[in-house]
Amino acid sequence: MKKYLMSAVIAASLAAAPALAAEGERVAAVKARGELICGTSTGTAIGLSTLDETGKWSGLEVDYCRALAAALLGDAAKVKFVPLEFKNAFAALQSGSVDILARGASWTFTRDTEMKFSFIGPYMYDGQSFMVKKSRNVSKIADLGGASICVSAGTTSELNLSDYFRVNNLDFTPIVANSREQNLANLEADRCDAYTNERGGLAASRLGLADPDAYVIFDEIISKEPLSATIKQDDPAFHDIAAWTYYALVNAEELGITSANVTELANSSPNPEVQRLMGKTGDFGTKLGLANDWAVKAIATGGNYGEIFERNLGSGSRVKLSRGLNNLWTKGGLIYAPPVR
Amino acid sequence: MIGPRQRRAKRVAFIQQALVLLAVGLLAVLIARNTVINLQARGLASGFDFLWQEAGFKIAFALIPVDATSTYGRVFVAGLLNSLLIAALGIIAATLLGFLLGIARVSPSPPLRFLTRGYVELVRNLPLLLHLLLWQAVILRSLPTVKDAIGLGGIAFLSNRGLYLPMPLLGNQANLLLSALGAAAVMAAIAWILHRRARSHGEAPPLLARGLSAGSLLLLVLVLIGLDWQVPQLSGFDYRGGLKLMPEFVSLIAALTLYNAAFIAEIVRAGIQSVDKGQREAAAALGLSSRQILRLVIVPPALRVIVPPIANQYTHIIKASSLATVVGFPDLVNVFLGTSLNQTGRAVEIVAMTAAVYLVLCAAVALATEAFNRRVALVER
Repeated sequence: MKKYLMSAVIAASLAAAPALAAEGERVAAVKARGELICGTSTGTAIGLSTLDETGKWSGLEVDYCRALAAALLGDAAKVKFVPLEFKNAFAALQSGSVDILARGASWTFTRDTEMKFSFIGPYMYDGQSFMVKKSRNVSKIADLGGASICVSAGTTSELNLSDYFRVNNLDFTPIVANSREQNLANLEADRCDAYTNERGGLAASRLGLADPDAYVIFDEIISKEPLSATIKQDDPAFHDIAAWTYYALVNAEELGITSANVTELANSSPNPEVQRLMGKTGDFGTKLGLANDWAVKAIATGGNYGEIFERNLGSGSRVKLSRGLNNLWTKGGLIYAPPVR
Repeated sequence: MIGPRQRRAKRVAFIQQALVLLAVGLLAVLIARNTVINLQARGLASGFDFLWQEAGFKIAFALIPVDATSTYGRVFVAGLLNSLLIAALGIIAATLLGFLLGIARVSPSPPLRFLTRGYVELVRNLPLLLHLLLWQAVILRSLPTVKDAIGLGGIAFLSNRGLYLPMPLLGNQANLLLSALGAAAVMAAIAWILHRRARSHGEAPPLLARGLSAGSLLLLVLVLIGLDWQVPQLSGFDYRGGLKLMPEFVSLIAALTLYNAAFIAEIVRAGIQSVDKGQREAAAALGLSSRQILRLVIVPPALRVIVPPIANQYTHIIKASSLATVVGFPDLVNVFLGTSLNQTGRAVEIVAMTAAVYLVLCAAVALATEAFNRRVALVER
């Protein structure tokens, strides 16, 4: 009797066929496809995900996706970038048309729990601020009472803006556009008095304006914006790979492993920490379901976290953003990775 | 006569059909059930409770009071009203312009025919989105900034942030105002009835009718002057007070009107030309005036041709009003399908609600057209 009951239960659950991805399903799908699909910005987020005139992608988010492709598939070129407007980005991830999202999405409670996403960990600690024309002679947010403020539709920026102005009893009119380009066009034409976004994003967009020097970005920050790569919460194995690829890049910076010396250190470093990360000792790659030299491949792609930051956003770039919170924990920042052990 | 064999065949057919129907029904239930389970498993559908949650974002233009503490339900209503406003204004303006253009298309004057034809061909052969972006760019780039706004008689102002108009303040005067308006309306209505009766008897309208129309007009002017008008004033970043029409709103209405008027013009032209020339000539021979010919001979049969395609055009305008999201006007698609969806992640619920709105609106237009069509249809005896 009990046996029949059991099989009835199984049959019922089969009929319902809840399509929960089994562990490793996304990883297997990526491997079978031979290509990682990475959702990025529309190519205008300078320093994060930028598309140049020759159709080449660059930026911190792009370099992370390449490193992930290198770790996962052994080849940094096996990645396809899908430009997404912010308002479509989460739907694209939920529907499974991209494997991972690396396009300036902040890690928030609702996205993590209710929307069932999984955050890899902040690759950039940012905060929301405002960009205005210098000729306006305003220097702080309190001066913006009654202003029209440009903001992108459906972002946390839109909510933070409302919250901050409400709490501080300031009036404003939101001018909501779908794209960064429209927001910048509105700002240039004085359709709005200020454009609000993360400081990193503002610094990058300022470069695209006709006269970047005519604009000032406030030092004040009204929100915490931990920008993180985002995946669906359905494959813990994929989360492990994505997270440990990021940790590998951070640990590499801490251990002094760079794109230039990674091959050499992989063979000759006497440091046991480096040996474990490089797959010289232990089977850490195998435990992730990857080749044992996964981290070597990832680091060789675009260097360690520090190299990637400096090249795309820091001193080696046009954006010239200081590292600030995005420095290693040993240097006063928040960038920290658990040990490979 | 139905023999036993046919009866059996009929019974078998009935059973077969019932079985097929049952199988289709079961399949539908299974698909629906699986969909719900899968959606829940992916965190995609979790009910409509979010409609009572605080939305937390502001809307730049709304017909009902909405602020950052309003619920998603209220945001939905605000967006819906904005969409309806765009669709209604677009339909009215496109119809008026379309009829004028359509009549001009068959005008006896060749330059007028040529010009309107040129307009129709130019406008209807460009994508609506292009019209929209064009108008947005024109307004943004060609109008001055708010600091250098063009003053219109010192009471209205035009800048690339919109058109600022004076607005009456309805304070303690509201009752007086309403009663005055009511009186004017009653006077106008009586005047109209008297006019109509006189005309149907072929007499000149009585002096009383003229007096009443003049009186109602005078009353209206007095009310307008006597109102406490709030004139927009430049303070800080923007003009305050009065009514502000957003440039996104204006560009959207302009694009919808000009584009759809071209199509409506062609529909109207076709309607007028569908009336046989002989009928017009016969009416003229009977001594009817050209206005009477238009009203009594041409319009009734032309309407039968015009109404069905024009209803199509109306449903197009309703759906195209959602292009508001491209220029950033807070219509239903922008605030609900856009921002609200991204903030809540309730994709399935929000998409379903938005789709239902457009479905209901367009179905309502179809039903209204059908009713109207039945009224104007040829009655065959």
